[in-house]
Amino acid sequence: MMKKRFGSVSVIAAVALAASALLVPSAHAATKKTIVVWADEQRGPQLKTLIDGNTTIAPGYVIQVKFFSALTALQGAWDKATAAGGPDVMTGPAGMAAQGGKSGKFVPLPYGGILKSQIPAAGISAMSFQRKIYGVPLDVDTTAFIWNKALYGASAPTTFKAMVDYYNANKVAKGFTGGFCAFEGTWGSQPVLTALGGGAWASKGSNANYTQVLLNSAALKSNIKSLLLGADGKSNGFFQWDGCGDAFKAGKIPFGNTGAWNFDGITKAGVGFGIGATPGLVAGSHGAQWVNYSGAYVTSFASTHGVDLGAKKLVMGWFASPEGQTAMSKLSGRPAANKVAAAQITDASTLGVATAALTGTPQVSPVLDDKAGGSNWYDVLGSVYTDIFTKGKDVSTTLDAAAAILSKNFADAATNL
Amino acid sequence: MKTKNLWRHAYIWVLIVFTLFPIYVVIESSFNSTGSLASSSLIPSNLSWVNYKALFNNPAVPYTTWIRNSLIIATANAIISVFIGAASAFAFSRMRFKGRKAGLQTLLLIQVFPSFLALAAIYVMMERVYTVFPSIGLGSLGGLLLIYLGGSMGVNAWLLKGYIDTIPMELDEAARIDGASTVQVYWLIFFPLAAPVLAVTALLSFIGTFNEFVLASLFLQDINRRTVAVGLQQFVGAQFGQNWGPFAAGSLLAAIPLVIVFLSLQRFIIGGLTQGATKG
Amino acid sequence: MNRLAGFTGLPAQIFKISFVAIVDAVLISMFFASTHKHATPLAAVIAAVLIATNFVYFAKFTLPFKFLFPGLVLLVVFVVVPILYTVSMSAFNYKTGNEISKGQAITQLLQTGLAPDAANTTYDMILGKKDGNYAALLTDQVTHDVFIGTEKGTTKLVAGQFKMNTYGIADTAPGFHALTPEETAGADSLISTLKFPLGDGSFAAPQSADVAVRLTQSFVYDKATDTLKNVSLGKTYKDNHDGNYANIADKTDKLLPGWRAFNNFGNYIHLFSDSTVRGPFIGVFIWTVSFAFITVVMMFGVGFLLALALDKKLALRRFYRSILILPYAIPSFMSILIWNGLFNRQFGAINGLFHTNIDWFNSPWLAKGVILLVNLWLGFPYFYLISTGALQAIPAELEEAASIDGAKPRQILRLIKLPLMLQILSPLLISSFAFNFNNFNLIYLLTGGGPTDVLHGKTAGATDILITYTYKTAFGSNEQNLGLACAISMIMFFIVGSLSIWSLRRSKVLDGF
Repeated sequence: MMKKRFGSVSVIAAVALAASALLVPSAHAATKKTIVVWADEQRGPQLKTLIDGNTTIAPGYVIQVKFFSALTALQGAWDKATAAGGPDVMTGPAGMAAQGGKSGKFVPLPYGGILKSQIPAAGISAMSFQRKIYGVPLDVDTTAFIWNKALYGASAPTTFKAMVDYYNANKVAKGFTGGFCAFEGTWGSQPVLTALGGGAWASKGSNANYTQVLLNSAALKSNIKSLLLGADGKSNGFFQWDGCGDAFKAGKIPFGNTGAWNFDGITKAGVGFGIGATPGLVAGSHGAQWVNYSGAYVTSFASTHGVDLGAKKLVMGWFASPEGQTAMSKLSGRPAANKVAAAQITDASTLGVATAALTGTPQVSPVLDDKAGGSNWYDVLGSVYTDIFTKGKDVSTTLDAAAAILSKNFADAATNL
Repeated sequence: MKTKNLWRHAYIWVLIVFTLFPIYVVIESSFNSTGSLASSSLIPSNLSWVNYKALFNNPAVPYTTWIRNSLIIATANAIISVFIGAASAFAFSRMRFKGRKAGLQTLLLIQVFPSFLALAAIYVMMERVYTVFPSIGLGSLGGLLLIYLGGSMGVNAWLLKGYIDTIPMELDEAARIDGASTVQVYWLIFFPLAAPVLAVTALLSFIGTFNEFVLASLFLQDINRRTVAVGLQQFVGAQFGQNWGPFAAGSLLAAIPLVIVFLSLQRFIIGGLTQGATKG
Repeated sequence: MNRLAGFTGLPAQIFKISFVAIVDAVLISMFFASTHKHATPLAAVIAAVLIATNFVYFAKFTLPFKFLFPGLVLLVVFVVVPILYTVSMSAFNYKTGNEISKGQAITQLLQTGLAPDAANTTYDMILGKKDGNYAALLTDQVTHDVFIGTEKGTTKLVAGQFKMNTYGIADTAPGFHALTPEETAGADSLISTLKFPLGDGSFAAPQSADVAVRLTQSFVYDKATDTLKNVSLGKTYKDNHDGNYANIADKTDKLLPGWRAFNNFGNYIHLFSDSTVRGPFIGVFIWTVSFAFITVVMMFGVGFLLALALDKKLALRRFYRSILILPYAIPSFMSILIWNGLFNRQFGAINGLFHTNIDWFNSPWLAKGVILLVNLWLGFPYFYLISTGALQAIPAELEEAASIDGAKPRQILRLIKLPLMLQILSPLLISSFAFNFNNFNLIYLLTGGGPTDVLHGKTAGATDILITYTYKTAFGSNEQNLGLACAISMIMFFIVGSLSIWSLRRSKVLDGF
């Protein structure tokens, strides 16, 4: 049987070939344990220059930064990641803390006394789920009010009505396509809602009252009618929230609201702008924008990979520290979350956003993301805007319908906080 | 013109306008320097190359890398999957074996399974592969190619079997009488005879891979590993108004070679499509 | 046939053997690389492929398998296995909050059951060994008291029993040997589980290589009864067989995280009994079927009429044809994105051209219309091509015979051509229906399933078809329910699969020989 003989010859040949191929991987030396950090396309390159390959932050370990092409790609990968290829340290928006706590993919981080004194309470609550802290806040994600100085002048408008009046008076002459642009959509429109006497939930001091939905407050209803709608009950074009950023940059919208990440682009477009807080109904009052944090989290995969201590050292000792946050803030232009680091900010626009953040409302992600009533806060608000401003539906009924959904969401989420 | 043919011309011209309208707008806006989607007239204005230049000088849009990735993966998939498909189709068409009919039916059923839900499983699987073999694991073109190849038998075996059934059996039999083995019949008789159809199958699977974006967008996270479908989709998805011009230019550049190949091979492709119809 | 001579006997054998040998070599080295990294499942798959390869190509095995094998391996590994996984997941409670294994969930619950004391007592820690056991020098960050801890207990040290470094952290004590960072990193998994009892039920636990905190364990796991007890609140939690520990007194009080648990096909029951799930499912189902049906009829109608129009020898016929099949040649993802742009309310060419301000994608009916129109653009060329093919396949004698019998052209068309065409094309029409039933790209890229009438409690979009709705359920933001999504996809598979098999049987393709 010629065939059989050849068969055995081939197996021998194959084994020999394979054995030679094996010599390479088996000769590897003991290496340091690697802590893998995942980040998005903005923070990733910054972290790469700051900590990739670092062996001193967590002695005995080496840090490796992997970044994704977009935040959605990062979240998509994170949703499906398991211990086999998942990260040891995650960075991303505060909403991740609740998801990670709920799914068990993040481990709780007990803060030490010193750290607790350096991190603002709102930052800690943003990182919390069911009274456990799942991350350290890195920097403040928030927006500030901006206005086109060449159009409106050097000083900020004092009241909301002043903006509307200016828009109505100059709409035709200056070819305005809108008066106020919320660059970041429904999320960025929060100061408009609050300036007009509405908002998500009521709060007293720093205590939120989730049982009282503010979206259908009488004040908001009447102010929308008087300031944002024309006599015919349809939008007067002042308020824009969908893809209006280019119009602001082109000088076709005088006021707006956006974050540090857009400032460069606006300056490059040749628009000189001032930074402040959204004017309220009376002089001196202001709208409150969402203040969110980005965080760094230790995953439960870290202990599977045997780098739990190192990952915690990196997160608590560098990401949370004044040194780490100052270094990151310098590269990103976002205000640091750590109070000590925040006090060292010198960059003007970063400082402007940091100041605006003081008047903001903590963005409690588990409450806003809850969809026990059917849809979450952002989707509900999107529908409200479309119905009122695009379709011209009745303000009161629309807001009441929205509030009915939100009250279910808020009540459900409050039990998990 | 006879009135009898009038309706034909009218109908054809209505469809031609319908067909060309979006194509025209894309061509127009790819040359429009304002880069804006808004065009209130069909007359071109502000002509320039600026959108095309934007594709090649922007590190955030590595267009040439995307095209290269797409070409690599589509070519590799086209070639390998044709070999796999041809071998399977040959077995299904020329040989009689137990489970043949059931096998063909199973292949068809696998085809219609909404397999993107298996994405989660594929992700976990390739994540594991990545830890040992990074070059064929998650995030690599090699890994994506393996997954595409996994589906190639199902797609191509059915398509090719139809053609192969039409190649007369007598040719095989003549060769066999001359003492050829089945393997020889396959490589020396069948393969050359089927070459044109194989080329068309390769082309169709090339286009299919070029078009695919659900798997690719999950799989290729690094911006330099993306295919042009994923890259352009994410790029235009980010800011519609702003990126429209470069998107139009990028789409055109990617589509032109495909359209040329398609039109020059249209006779074969149409033959392939109608085959299924006429065999009934 | 002389050409064959060169490829028989020894050379062919050697070629085959060396080819298999190379494949073997690659697979064997991959196998060892996997075992080296302890990737056991991967190694098992590689071993299986390796054995199967050699078996199929060397054993006296049926010839067809030698041809089918390469495709079959890839098919099984990359398609069939993931599909089986999907099928099995449809029987599990697998959603946000129920993703990990039960063992991991218990570990996590015990970790979350660790509560820091009121003062958040934190120690600067130097890890080391004392008498061969792990030990730590602990310096309270606030009071600066110094302790030495082992797993047996912790003792307070008084001045003279330790030395402090320049940072005010005790780092040397008699009998205590500090670990190097590399030693600490090497024992990471072990050290992270160390507890230094403080005597009152609380303990100091390392949080990183140089910090420990004072913690109390409020949850205790009892393996015998499979219950978790909250010691401080006196509550007992038991496995509720749906992937969570639930309070035995109040079943709605569940502990998070839960785990992925077999729930007796609860997802299917959910789908038909829970109105919040059933409602959107039925609506989406109806639109999916109507969309797939209407779009096929439209595309076939337009394509068939075009085939008739171009059936006669017309001037410029080739030119017309080349233009009219363009939509088929352009990558469809691009065409869909382009159409999306054209219908954009603010920037779109369609509103711009007609000077309208219609919000195409925000009205359910307009959005549905746009979808049908765009799909018509994408699909009519295909139907034109197959109709042309079918028209040519109708024997000319039939037409002649009919016209001799006095039938008018229109009658011939209606009574002879159309029924024959439908019969010839029915397999393709059915497969086109099946394709559009699952036409993910079209809906996802064009409308994203929207608009969604959120304010009236709708959770599915007006143009969502089953596959996009499933996609949102499985991979949507914040709340994902992979188990339910898998159950829906099984129903889709059942519908499309039986349709395909039915049409296959009907067309008798398999009965040919």
